Amino acid sequence: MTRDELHAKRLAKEAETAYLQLHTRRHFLKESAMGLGALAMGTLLGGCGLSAVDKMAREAANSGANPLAEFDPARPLLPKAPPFAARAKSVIYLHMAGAPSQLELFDFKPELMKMDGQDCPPSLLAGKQFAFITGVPKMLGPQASFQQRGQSGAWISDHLPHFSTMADEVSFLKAVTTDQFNHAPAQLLMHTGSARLGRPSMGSWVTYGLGTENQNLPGFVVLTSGGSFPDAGKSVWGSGFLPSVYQGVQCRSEGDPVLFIKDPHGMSRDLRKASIDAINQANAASYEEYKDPETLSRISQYEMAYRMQITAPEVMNINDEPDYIHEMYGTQPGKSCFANNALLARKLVEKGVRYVQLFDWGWDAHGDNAGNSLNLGIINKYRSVDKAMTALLLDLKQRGLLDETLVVWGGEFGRTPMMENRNGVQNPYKGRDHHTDAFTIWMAGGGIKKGFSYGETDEIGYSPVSGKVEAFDIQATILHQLGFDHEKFTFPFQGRPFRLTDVGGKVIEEIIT
Amino acid sequence: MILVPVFNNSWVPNFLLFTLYFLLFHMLEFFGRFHPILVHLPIGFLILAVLFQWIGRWSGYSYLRLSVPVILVLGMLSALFACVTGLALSGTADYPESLLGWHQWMGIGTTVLSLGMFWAVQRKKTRETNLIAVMLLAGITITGHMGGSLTHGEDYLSFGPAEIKPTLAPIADIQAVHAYNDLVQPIFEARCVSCHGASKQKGNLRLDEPSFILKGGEDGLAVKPKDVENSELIKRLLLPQDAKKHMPPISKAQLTGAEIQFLQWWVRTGADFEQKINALPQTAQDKQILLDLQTASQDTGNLTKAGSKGATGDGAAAKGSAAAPGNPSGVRKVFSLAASIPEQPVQAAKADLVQRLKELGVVVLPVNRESAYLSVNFVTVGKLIPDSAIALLEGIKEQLIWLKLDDVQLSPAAFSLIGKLNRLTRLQLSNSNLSDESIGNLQNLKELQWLNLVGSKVTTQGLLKLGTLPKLQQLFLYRAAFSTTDLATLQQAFPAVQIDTGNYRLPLLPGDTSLVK
Repeated sequence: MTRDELHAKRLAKEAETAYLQLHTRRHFLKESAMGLGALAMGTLLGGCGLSAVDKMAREAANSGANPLAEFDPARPLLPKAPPFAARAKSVIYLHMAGAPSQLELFDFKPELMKMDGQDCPPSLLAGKQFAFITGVPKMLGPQASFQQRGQSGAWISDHLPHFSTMADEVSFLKAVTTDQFNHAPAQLLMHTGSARLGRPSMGSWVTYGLGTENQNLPGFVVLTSGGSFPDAGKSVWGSGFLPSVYQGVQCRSEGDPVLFIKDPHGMSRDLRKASIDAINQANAASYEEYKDPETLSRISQYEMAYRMQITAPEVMNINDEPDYIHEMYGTQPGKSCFANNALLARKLVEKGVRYVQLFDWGWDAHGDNAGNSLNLGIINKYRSVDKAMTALLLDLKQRGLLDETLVVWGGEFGRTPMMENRNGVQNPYKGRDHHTDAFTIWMAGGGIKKGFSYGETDEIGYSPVSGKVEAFDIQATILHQLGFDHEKFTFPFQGRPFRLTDVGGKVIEEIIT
Repeated sequence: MILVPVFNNSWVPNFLLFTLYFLLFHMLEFFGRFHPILVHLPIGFLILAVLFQWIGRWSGYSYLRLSVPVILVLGMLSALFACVTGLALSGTADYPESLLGWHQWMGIGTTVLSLGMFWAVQRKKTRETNLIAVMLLAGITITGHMGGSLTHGEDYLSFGPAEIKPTLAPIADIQAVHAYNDLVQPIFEARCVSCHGASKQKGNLRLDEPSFILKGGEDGLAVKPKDVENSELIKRLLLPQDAKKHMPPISKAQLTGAEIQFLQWWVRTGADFEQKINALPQTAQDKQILLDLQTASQDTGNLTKAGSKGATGDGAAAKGSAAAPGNPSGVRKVFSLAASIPEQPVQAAKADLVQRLKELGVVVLPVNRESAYLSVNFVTVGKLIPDSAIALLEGIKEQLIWLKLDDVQLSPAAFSLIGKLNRLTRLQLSNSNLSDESIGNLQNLKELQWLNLVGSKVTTQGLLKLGTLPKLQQLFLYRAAFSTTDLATLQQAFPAVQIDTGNYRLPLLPGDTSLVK
């Protein structure tokens, strides 16, 4: 036998063995013990190891309910009843983008005054990360004078002379914390429950869960002022993985509220209707072919846009309001400003809009120039919102709307008790760096206690001492007031149910009634 | 023989030896921690063995008996492991001695019994087998229960939900009671003694008698008279609730803010065990603290929420710092939407009526998904509401509790139809043509709590017709034809109603229109 023959024979035998092995029970059992075990294990543990989607599918099959059954792509914004008894029907969220200083507005710290100009004790710096502070900064006393206001005795600084009269209408959260010290991620965390892009915003969740009562207006409206968008961009009112129809509709605060809301010159209402009908027919044909629910959303959006052409200009037009209302808010008709937006927010909520989100940019009080210094530019920010936010509360109140509208005011984080020293050099103006450990948010209306304060910070406003809450807790509370259990309000995505509060969140029972 | 000199002369083997001891000791402690898991094995095995033994008496199941010896051996081995790990664990934790002793010996006894049963089964001694089996079951039950009592506390196995017991019986006059006997001791008794008392002494601390209280525990003096800062007990109470050393542990009922403040005062004034409150020094602030404690003791509702706000404001208030004096429920009454839903259930409304209303563009919704009560809003119907739409509401009047008609014109007939919707708790007829005549229709709405007449044509004369609404709480009259000078008359007619006439104005301040540059 030659070497080659021997080799061939060996190979043939090997092949035969391999072939036979694949057919013998003994081999199968021997070699696949692990695999069979795993299969058995999988079945045994089925109950607990079931993937969320399987579970949902199974539950849906059992109960006939589908997580998306309530999503009607043709009428995605139809109003729905909340799962539990709600305390609020609408939300107006006033976000001061850039993060206002709690130490100049609500968190009065006389001890910090005494430390003004001293070197920051090393204990406050150890293990901490700041956006700009490097080395040893100086402490900075409160750049404001404070008084106790109203029966509740809440401390509010003289920077907010109008809002000071509202102490007995709101609940303060004095020990809010976050874990993000940059604007964009912190804003995303506050509004979408994640510091990364891609999650639906709170307004999207709420309109997904509740729809909106007025089908002629969007359910989730976003109004911006202050000369710039919030740092997180449009993602902060995005719909993430929810159907895109739930994203915030940004209305312009100058000129037409929505671009192209008027019919073009020479186009009649009937012609507009006919062209929308034609587009919708084409879309309907496309839907028949591909069954993409987003196509139905698009059809419904066209229809809503058509209806909005009638309703929106009227609602969005603040000029028809009486003069004394304009005076109360301090509006500047024709310009873009927070006061106009606050008045608009009231009008929208009055007409049944579910969630109105205001962003006012320019609160980033670093003190690296006069415009963002606590003693100059930022004082103008206080002035630009003080009267308007006070007027908003009073106006909602006198219309009987405050009981069913939850108003939230706050930024994305707080400011340090230290004066900012960018790159180790003292900033030219008085300013504070970003601070994640403690800041103040207030809430009013919608079943929130009136004249109450929850949470406390240490003597210099650096860390919470009691009543610490985080973004998830605020989101859980807002959802609770609207009639949701934040732990059960989920959407299936990428194989698991997602919720606004991720795996955190505790309703702040202390401030609700 | 060869090793000894090496051991004596070099530090290396000594170090090794030390490491060995260290490892052994800590391994032992580590294995001990598996005791609470391992114990369940012998419990399961031995009960199974007894069951198989007995079920095997029926001829159809006699084959079960074949496996009894195997199960018994497994049970014995696992019981042995449980004993070893249990002994290892017993050295490391501070369980009450006597209970631990009993548990230990019962456990060992049960192990021996399982050996006995094995012997009896093997020798086919039926009577002995049954006798030992009964003893074995009893042994497992008692040992198991004792183990449970060790880990969960002796009062764990009792009926009813775990209640947060009130600390103090209602006190009529706090100044007249005994500081220690009537206040300090009851607080300790309710919140501390279960772990720091006669049966358990965690941290070697007992708080059930004055001598023990003053003696302190392994972390030093629990109470150092006149020195709050160095009293471990006060320190622990004041730590944030999620701090590891906070007392009571976060899972247990907490002391209220008033109780903590009181204990601080008691320590500050010398931790007296003899005197009455009025014999001890008090500042105005202390008097307030004591009064708070007295009020809290009379209000039984406070107990369930005890301590969630912990020591809010104390230290800070004493130093005159910035904490606002908090009123736990806020300073003004909040009218909650949720409170306007009746408690008694109602059957669902007729679906066809709801459907017809929806077709007219009316928003008809259950107030929430658990309720059949309905809320109706005409927001998208338009300004002129046809009587036929209002007439449809009569068919759902048993369910209809919230009705919103804003910016609408209605006929007199429609107003009289609304007057028949007598389940309404919230009614909005804002910016409508409701007049002094048509408002008379509303006086039959006996359930009405909230009435919004903003921007309507109603005057005081008309409003007085509503005097018979027994449940009315809130009335909104902003921009109604009603004049504010009549407010006193109106408030007299509706003494229990919060009337909001609105028309708020804000003064124009220099800062509102100027910029800082």
